Amino acid sequence: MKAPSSPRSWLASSALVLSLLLTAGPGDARALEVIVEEDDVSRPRRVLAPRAAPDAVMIVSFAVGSVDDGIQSGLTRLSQHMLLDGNAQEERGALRRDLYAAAAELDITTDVRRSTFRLRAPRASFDGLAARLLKLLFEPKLEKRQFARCRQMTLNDEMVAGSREHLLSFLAGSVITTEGGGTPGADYTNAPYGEADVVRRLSFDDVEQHVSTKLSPANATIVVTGRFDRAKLERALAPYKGGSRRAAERADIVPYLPKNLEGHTPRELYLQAHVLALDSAEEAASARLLQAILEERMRTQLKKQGASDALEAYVLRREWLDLLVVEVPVSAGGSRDLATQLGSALGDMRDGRFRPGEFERNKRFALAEMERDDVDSGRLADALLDSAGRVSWHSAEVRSALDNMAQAVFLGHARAWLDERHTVRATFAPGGAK
Amino acid sequence: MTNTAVAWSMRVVPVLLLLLTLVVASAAEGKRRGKKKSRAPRPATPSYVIERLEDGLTLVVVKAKSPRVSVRYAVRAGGFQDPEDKSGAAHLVEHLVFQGGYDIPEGKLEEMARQSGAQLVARTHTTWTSFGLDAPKESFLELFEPYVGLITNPALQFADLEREKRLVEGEETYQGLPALVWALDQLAFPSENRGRTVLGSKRTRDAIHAEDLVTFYEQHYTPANTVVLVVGDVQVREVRDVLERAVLQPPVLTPDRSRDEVEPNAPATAKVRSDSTGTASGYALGDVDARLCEDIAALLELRVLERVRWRESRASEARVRCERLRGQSFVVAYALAKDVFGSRLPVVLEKVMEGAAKRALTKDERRVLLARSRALRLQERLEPERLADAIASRLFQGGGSLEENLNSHFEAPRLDWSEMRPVMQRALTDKRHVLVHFSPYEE
Repeated sequence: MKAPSSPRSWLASSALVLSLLLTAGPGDARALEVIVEEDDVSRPRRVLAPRAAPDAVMIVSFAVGSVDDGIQSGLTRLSQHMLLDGNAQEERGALRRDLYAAAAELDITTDVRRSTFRLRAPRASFDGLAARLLKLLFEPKLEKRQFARCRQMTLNDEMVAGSREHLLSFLAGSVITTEGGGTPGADYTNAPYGEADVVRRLSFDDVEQHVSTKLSPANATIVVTGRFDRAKLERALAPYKGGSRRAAERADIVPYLPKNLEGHTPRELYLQAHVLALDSAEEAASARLLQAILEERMRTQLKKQGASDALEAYVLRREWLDLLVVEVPVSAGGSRDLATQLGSALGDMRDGRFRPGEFERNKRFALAEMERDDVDSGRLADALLDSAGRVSWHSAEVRSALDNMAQAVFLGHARAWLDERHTVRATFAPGGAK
Repeated sequence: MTNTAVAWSMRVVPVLLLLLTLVVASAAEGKRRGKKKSRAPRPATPSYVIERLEDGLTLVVVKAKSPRVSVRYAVRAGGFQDPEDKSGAAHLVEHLVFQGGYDIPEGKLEEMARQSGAQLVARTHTTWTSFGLDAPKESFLELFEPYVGLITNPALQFADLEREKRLVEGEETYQGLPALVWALDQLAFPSENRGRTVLGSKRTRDAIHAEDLVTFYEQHYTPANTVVLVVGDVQVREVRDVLERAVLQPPVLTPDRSRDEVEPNAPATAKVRSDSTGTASGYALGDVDARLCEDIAALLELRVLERVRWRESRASEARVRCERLRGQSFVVAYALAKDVFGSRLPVVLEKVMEGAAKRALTKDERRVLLARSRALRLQERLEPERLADAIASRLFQGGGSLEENLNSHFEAPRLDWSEMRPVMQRALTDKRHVLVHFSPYEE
């Protein structure tokens, strides 16, 4: 607040201070507070989580991905590069330089049905950089003379085999077809970064068309977490509306399971995925707890057997599909026995057998993870992505459900999710089929 | 006093104090008028303490206001200290520590960490091994003591070595940037390590027996060979007390680690066939202080990024770092690419690096680099985990005293062109160039 320079303004400032003291809470950032605004379908959905943090993160997510590329595999990815680096709204290189000077980061992801732009910046520079990014995305002036360079960027992108994006794309492409779980016209087998020979044939007009129809304000969700100026953000967003919001269609893959798949990654990997339903805070809490228990139990078991000590269990959440994934890097030939070993650990869970202290210990772990997520702008933004229009993964309700979770309630959800009939298994090996 | 009166006075007193502050601020406002809007805060140099304990162990505590505390318990021994033909020994020792100690059964510490929201991590590098603990402040001491007890008194004789060998087989070998750093070191100092890796191979691991690991542990895991780095809001006295109680190794005279300086093998080039394209293009700077090496690397990184990422798109990733290899400073540009145009990376990087001394540091470049340095140091201060990792790798890359390395980490860039230019003119030439290039198109 600016110091008063006259008796009248002194009085006004005092009145303001008084009113703030009488009405203000502990601060404008409350733990687990999440504000969701999605009433106006012509504008981007907003998911806001202000926190007392040293930085802020903004994720602009469009409900468009590789399934929408059709026969133009890589079109969405190339469009993203054009929006950032082939856009006359910014002098060439200016944004990149300013991001570098601020030690800020701007990354893009291209997924099966979602593409994102993620900005993380120290709080002093966030508001200005966020406004510039929004202008680039929602008021683009694509430049034809930058097209070749942006196409080169797309050709240089490499999806890391074994990364979560790769695994999701692989699972979706292998399981979902237009006959089974997909929607007409959506090609789940498209590679998110495209095929090189197809990308080389894409044109500037293709990108312009794609950006104007699919990457529109109405089809965007904006997640902002950390320390940011909400008024500035609203002013930056105010001019942007238009386009149409893609309907959220869940991919119903359960009728086509169980499935066993084979794939190709540089090192041997075993993966098991279970379809989840996350339609309530209680289910979200159960999924968090299941992830924690499975990870600890299986990691300990496999480590004792010398099979692997790098097992990871995580929940992969998308508007269209939620999965609990167990991912195990193994030494050569090790994946053969893993299905059996993991099967017995899951069987114990289905039968309601817990190790001593396991339930409470992992409940505390899951709660601690929520607390960690809540104070880290990046982790919080990732947890809130895919929260608009559905039950949130991160909220006071989920925390409460987790804290009060009883074993019987948890087992009810876990048994349904761990049903063998809702499972996908995949083994990846070097030199195997792609 | 009634509850209402108490509540009212609780609101009024702070208001009165605030009004008083406003009056004082108002009186000072005349001096503030016309001043520029404040910029991003400048990070103050954090305070740190270095203590050498009686048993020879070195404790470094860096104060940082944070709800979490990070520890790096670091031993000055890594893959380069593996016995001849038994590559992978240091790494196996790191694994075996977690199979439990005489007082702490396997898995117990992991359980305690998990329910506290803490993380345990251990990593073996080429010249050092670190055991990390990142924990909420409230549970830090409770976990720190058993962790130190485990590291300093593991039950190696009872460990299941064959099981750990099977687990190591599943670990990733070097990929991406670490692979390039390792390859450059092998090329620049071919007689020093002769191609050994931290993980070793199945053949070298099969040759390792339990006695080898016990010997390795006894030789290298001594207090005199250890630095404990703690970053967070802790009391030095409390940390010291834990170490004095929990370190269960006997004090040993510090071995003489001085050795002759080895001249790097430069110029040298290696082109290797590989699935992906990556380039490490390094220049031996010779004997320069860490701050100067960092300044040169920062300037070169800005110019490399402009050339291979922002103006043209030759690389998917690029950076320039100051590396300490075998006690010598190198400035190294790294770049990764996927497309066939990545084959031009070595030429492009060479052009940028070797031409850099001819183009003076501009005002704009200076502004960008100083702003970035400020922002990065501020970020680090607020994330103890990140600060601990950054300091630890600087402390153990070799060369300089602890104090020198700590000071140079917290020191702001000098970016003095009159200081940088002669070093760049002398060192950024083909005679001091070491290049490693991986590509699917090499024979």
